[in-house]
Amino acid sequence: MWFSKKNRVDEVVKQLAHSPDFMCRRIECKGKAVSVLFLSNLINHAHLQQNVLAFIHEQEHISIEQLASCLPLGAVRICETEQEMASYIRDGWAGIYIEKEKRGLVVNIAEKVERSLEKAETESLVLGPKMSFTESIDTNIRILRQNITDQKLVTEKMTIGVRNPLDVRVVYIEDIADQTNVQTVKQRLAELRIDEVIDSSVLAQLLDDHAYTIFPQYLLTELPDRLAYSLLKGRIGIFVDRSPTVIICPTTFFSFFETTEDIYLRWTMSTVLRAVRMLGIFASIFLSPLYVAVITYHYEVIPSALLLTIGESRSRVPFPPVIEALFLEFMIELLREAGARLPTKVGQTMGIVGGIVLGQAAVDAGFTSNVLIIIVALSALGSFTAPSYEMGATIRILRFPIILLAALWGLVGIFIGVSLLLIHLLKLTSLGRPYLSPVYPFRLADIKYALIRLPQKFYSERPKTNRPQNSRRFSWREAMKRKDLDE
Amino acid sequence: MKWMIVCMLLLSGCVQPRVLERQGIITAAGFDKKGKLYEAGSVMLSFQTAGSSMSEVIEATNKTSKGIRQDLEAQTSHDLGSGQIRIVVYGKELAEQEGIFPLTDTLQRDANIGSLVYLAIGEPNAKTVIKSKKHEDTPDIGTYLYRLIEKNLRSESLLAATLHEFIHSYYDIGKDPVLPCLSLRDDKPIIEKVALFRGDKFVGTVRLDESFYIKMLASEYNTGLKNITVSRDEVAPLLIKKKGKKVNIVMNEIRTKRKITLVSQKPAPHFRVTVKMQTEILEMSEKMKPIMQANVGILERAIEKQMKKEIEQLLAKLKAYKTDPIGFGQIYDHSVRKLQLTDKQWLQLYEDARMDIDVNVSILRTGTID
Repeated sequence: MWFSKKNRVDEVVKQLAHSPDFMCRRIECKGKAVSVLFLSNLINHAHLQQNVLAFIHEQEHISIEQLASCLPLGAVRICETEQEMASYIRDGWAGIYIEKEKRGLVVNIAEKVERSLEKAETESLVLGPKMSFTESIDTNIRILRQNITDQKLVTEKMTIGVRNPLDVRVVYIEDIADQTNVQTVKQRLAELRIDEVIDSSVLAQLLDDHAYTIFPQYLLTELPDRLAYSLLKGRIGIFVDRSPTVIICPTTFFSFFETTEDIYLRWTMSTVLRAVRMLGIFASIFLSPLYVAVITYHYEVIPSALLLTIGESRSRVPFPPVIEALFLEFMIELLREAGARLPTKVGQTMGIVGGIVLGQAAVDAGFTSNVLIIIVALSALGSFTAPSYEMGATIRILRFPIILLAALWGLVGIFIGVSLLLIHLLKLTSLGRPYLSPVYPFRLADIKYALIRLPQKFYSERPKTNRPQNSRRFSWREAMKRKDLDE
Repeated sequence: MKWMIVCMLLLSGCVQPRVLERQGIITAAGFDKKGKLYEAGSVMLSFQTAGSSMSEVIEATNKTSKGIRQDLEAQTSHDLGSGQIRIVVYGKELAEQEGIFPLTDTLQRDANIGSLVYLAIGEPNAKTVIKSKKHEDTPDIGTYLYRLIEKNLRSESLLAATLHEFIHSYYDIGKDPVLPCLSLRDDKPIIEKVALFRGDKFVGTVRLDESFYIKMLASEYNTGLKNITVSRDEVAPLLIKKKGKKVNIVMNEIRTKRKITLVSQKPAPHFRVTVKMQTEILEMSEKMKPIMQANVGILERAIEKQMKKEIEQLLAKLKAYKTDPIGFGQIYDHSVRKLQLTDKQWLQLYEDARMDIDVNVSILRTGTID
């Protein structure tokens, strides 16, 4: 160990030399040369000056050990190797070397860029908490801890990505969440051999049981209350740094159609709202295929009152019904996509241009029939009632193959499509758990969680679908024991 | 394996598409007899790009109904589609001479045609009914006739009119079908009478008020209206004025329960028909004393007596036509053990059959005000 300490600093400097914002500040202090290394874009300069530089100046006697114990900063660490120090510096820490000492010191004076907490955008609610997660994992964990104060809350840290390591936290409640599920998640995360993961949605895809299906298998949410609710019911959450959405798993098909609002509203309302949503989604998948099938093959089933209306509007259209339907569906998709890409101010005019001008013109020009415009608009609306954006997109895509089947074989084709879809859904799993639960395998007690809502007293057990270790939530009889004033 | 099934499905070819606007949609058809040939007219609906749609009657003559169909195809640029056919009208003459079963049978065999198609008899013939230009606000005569019959079935003044019911009664031993009979008034088709059949042959008609009793005896009767005329003497204690001939009473919200039992089998079948009727009085042709618990019986007895008389008249008429739409034969067949009744046997027995009628009317309300 004869080589000079200056060389060690040079090693670090060499590693970070390609960053123009890398600074190596050398200060003389009590006859010793102290080097302070940092990336100037990442740090809080006020911290650096007041708590690091000024502090070093004030010291009588200076050594790494002494600094490590006295620096007025929370996170201080002693580094053995240059690589370790370089990686800390890249994270926004400042490295300190003292001449003739073997080890270095790193202090956390990082200032991360972060936006303020905002209202949830993609999962907007009328009732209930509005706050949404942000891109910083530390803030997100903080929000979660505020939501769940249970001492059994576990936030396990894992790192994935070789080139660009990413901080991932697996959160669950230790005595509720099923241990097999937790093991599966941790194992899958540990076995990921990948250079980088950009976002939680990508991680969700990497964790998928089935890569070739169009159905999302993990729920992504930006709502802290939704995560808290899911955790307390025995599910597992995965936080990913730099991502405002949290993965919830295992997920069932029906969790994509529920919102936290369903829980906040009274049970009658939310039951009706869920039914409306389900109906809308069902209509969204099957209305246009039904139109194609009926107009192409089964004119017998049209009620006599509608026969003329449909017939007259169809008689102007020169294309077969399937082309007409595909054309209009494509137009709606185009509008939606354009609306999503455009800045909000222009987006509004897009709606008017697309909805009114194009729709009316298409009918006038004899490209489509009036009836189909209504049907396509309805099914587009229906698909947007899906609270999950991913599921909404799935439903929009799903209708195209069914339209084609309807064009090939009419109603028989639709039923072939439905059968194939059902078979597929029955085979799907999320984290190894059945996707269609509680409908298949049938769990009557869980229907109240998935399809309908009941008064609160029926929710004394956690959903069996999540296989909670401890399924008892409360005893309704005890909860409702009230003492009157005169007792 | 999975892909093989998909390929098989894809390669098996497509069904012939029948795109709606390419179809000439037949909403009604009428059949008549012309010598040895059938003469048929179909109401074809074609959609118009501008203005309202039009319907048109196309006609053809051939030996079979499917032959007619081919001749009709030659007369239009559309593919004729019978999937929306709502009503088939048979000419009175055709029904009387030939019977309509061969023609209904082909409807039944056609998968495109539902078994809830209405059948009717056209008077004087089907062609004039089908070609009538008066069809109210409906786009074509087929829809008009369909709605006309549907409405009257719902208000329960008609007994049965669907293809299914016709075929069912036709094949049933001891029961004969009935169909609505369309006749023209000022060139507009209306339902005035009900056509009676023996087997599939038209034998005669009864008025709608008579068909009320057929319906009442053949099945349960709910809702509906009945006008009954009783003689003055019967209700004398209730009347204020002493002069005049008859009193008309209109009953509403009629609910009946009927029970027909075979009392004895020999020498001739003897049935007891019990009808229990609950109703309310809607209208009376003359001012009466207030009807109370004490004197409502007078009115009830009077109605019972009149009804019994009318039912007996009707049964005599049915016997004269040798038709049994009420299904006494069925009851006979069910009640007698080890019997394989044939239509022929029943026809003989029916002639001598005796029916005792017992009507039991109870008036629940005398108008909704009380």
